[in-house]
Amino acid sequence: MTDPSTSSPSGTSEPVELDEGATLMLAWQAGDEAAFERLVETHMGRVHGLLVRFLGPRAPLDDLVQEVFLRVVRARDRYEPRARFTTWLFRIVYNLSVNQTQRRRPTPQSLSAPDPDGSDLDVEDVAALGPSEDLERSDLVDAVQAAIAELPERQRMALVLAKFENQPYADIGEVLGLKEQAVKSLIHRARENLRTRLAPLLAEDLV
Amino acid sequence: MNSPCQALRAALLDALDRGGAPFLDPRHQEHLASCEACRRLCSEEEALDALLVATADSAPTGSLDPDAAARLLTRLRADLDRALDAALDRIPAPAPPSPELLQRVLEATRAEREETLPDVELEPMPGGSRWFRPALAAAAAAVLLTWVSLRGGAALDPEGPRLAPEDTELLAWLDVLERWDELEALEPVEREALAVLDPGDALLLEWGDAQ
Repeated sequence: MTDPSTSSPSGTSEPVELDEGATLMLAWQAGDEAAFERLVETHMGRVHGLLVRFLGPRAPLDDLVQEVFLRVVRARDRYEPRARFTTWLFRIVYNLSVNQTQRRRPTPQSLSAPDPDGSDLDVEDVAALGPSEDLERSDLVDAVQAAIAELPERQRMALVLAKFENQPYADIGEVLGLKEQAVKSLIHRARENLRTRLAPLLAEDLV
Repeated sequence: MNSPCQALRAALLDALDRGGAPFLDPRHQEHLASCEACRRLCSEEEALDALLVATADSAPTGSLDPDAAARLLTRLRADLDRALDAALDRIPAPAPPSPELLQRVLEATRAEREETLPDVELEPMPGGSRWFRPALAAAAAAVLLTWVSLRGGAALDPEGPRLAPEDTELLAWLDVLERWDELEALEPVEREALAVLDPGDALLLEWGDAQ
């Protein structure tokens, strides 16, 4: 894994104001074990949430959260507070999620596979549904989630970080290893893809 | 979107499909009076319809005026964008992780955390001087540097190294370092005394002990 703490797309290493996460990380580097426990406690929820948004609720979330913090442990000595702590942490989550996606690819639990409980809607099925189908609100949510899951990885992570984690474009660029302009373009393309895939449902929902 | 809005919208689309014939029955009129969103939709659709009719009249090929088409597309895209944002906002926040996960993560990382513990300073011995170890190391380094500088320019002896007086002193210091464990076991007073003795005194004391 590329060490997220040692690479920056902008190549800058300007000192940043220490946020709570960075402060805890530095305290832990200096030998304060309680700081690590606090770090896990305060950031576990966001890591878990980001994994759910990016990989879906069926991913082995607890294992992945554990793996994220194991990678934090392994990066302990190399950590430098060059960006917001969450940016550094989200980059670990992203790298791990991409690995996970690639591992799952040969035997995918595909979104298009028939789902016994019927909770998943395939994107193609969603697009085929006409306005007259009068979908319930929960179906729309499922359809949107399915459409997000079908986005390419970088588009998906950029959209999730911007929309649900309220991360600024510059920080998303740090997570994905891209310039800010490229992030804008990614998000634009992600939205365009979603608009296209969900157009029948969105048109039904207009007013 | 609630059902009166849906009914009105369906009627509106139906009317537009049929060429804009009057579609509003009293039920829809009543709803329009109370629903700002539907009034806005109706006026927008009427304006769009008028635009399409005007364009059809003026365009010999039957295609839309490029400007009008662009405006229409822009409007549709903006509407879809708003609807997309509304749909994204409807996705509920993920459920929080289970309370046991914190303990699980801490347990799973414990072994690796212990491996990466930073060097912890030795606790100063009770009554001992915390400067003893650095002072001893500095003294050894000084002797070593002196020895190196004295021997630096000399040619190599083909018969091998011979002990000079300063070599003996260096060996005495190396001996001290080798016996570090014994020194650690000394009383603080003894160690402090040893730290301020010069090597000659130390050797003398050692010789006295041996007798």
